[in-house]
Amino acid sequence: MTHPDESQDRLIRLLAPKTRLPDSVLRPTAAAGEEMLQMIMRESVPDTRPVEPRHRRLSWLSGRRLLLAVPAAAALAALVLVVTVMLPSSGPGGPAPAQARALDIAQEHGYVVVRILDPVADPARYRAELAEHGLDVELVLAPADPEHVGRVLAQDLDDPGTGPRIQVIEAPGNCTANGDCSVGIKVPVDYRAHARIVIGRTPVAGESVAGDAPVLGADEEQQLRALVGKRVSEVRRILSSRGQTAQYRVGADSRSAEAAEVPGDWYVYDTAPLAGGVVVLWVSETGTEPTVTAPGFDGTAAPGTPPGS
Amino acid sequence: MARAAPAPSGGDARTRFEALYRAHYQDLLGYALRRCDRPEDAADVVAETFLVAWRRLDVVPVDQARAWLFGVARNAMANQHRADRRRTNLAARLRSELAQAEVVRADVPDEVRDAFRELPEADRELLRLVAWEGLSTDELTVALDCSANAVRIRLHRARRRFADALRRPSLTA
Repeated sequence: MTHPDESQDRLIRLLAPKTRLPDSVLRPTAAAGEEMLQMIMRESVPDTRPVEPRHRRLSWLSGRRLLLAVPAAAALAALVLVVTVMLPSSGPGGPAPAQARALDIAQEHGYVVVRILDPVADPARYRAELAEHGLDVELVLAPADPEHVGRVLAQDLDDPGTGPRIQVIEAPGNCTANGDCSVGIKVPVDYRAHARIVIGRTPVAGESVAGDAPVLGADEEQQLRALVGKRVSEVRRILSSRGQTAQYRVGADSRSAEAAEVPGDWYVYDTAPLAGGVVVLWVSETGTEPTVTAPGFDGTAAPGTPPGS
Repeated sequence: MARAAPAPSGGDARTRFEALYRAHYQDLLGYALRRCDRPEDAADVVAETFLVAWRRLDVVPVDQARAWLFGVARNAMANQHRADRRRTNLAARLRSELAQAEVVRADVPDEVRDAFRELPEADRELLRLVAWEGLSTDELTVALDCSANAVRIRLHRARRRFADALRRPSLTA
């Protein structure tokens, strides 16, 4: 008799996508593999910097991840919150009427559908209106190039544990050149973890465009790396002198924090560049990365990572 | 788990890295191909992972190198936004060759696919590492950077949730 675990594994093996490749690609000694090997050894030398597994929740989404994140619509039985960005094609519109709502929230076909009425509203207004539905979700609209307007640019998520997870909505046929087909996110109404979702909007005049992390030169990389281990107060001075600004991530769940919440005598233990001269600083009181208390897996796996099946 | 070999240097490092690369290249490429939407994207994952291995050769566990590489690859995919694009030239040729590859979509009953998709991603990746890559509990602790006890608990729960999802009436009707 077959063990239940073996039966499961057999089913799961069926789900593995298969790629037909010529032998010349599969062999490490063939041209492509050999070239990579030699270039890696030429490119750099072994160093002694610690490389620790990350429990990072900041995930700038690639097309791959978005595509794989998409669930079969039919499989979604739960009521979910759908956030779609209905931006005026001419870009962020004129000033919203005073006291007007920033979001239009309604139920449609079993989903709560959220449309963004005011794409340049203070994110606090979005948050307050989402909180009325019991959701601890920050919705941020960032200026993006035309291809990424209305796309999910990034998710910064707490690990919801075994609870429901945020998923990305994809519209096949409505994709960017690099395969980003996101048109919104689905947040189960019983989602109780914190989430920060960044969605692209048309930039207003003079705004730089957010998107993927900027490409850094070697010097810039070195400058960023040099911030690690320094006190927050010193890093603030350094960034300020370079005309850069900081975003903060704290705790094992990599939660975004305001500058006022981060004491100057804390330490930076990791950094990442964002567009527009913004540097993300992971900080802690001791300068070491906080450990995750829950056993198991990191939250990047949640909706952002999801290799699909 | 046997820890890393003493810090290599010079020719020793090259010899050891070449052996590591040739021993695990195919498995790592397969791992990445099974998780990347486009085959050519797997080239960057492989390059990024082996670059980390080369730079940190002294911490690669001797007897768990494959699982360690999977763990690095997993982080590389999760942190793609941080990838240094200068590195993509490492993968240029492989990327170009993979771009010609043909992906064969598995013919799987919808109820199995739906049940699997219903699981939390952490469950899915754990089950994939077991079923697709054949990792043992010890190897999972390396790939996922957690304790053996946590692996066993999570695997037990993931299997139970998958079994429940497969039994769900809406999926079997």
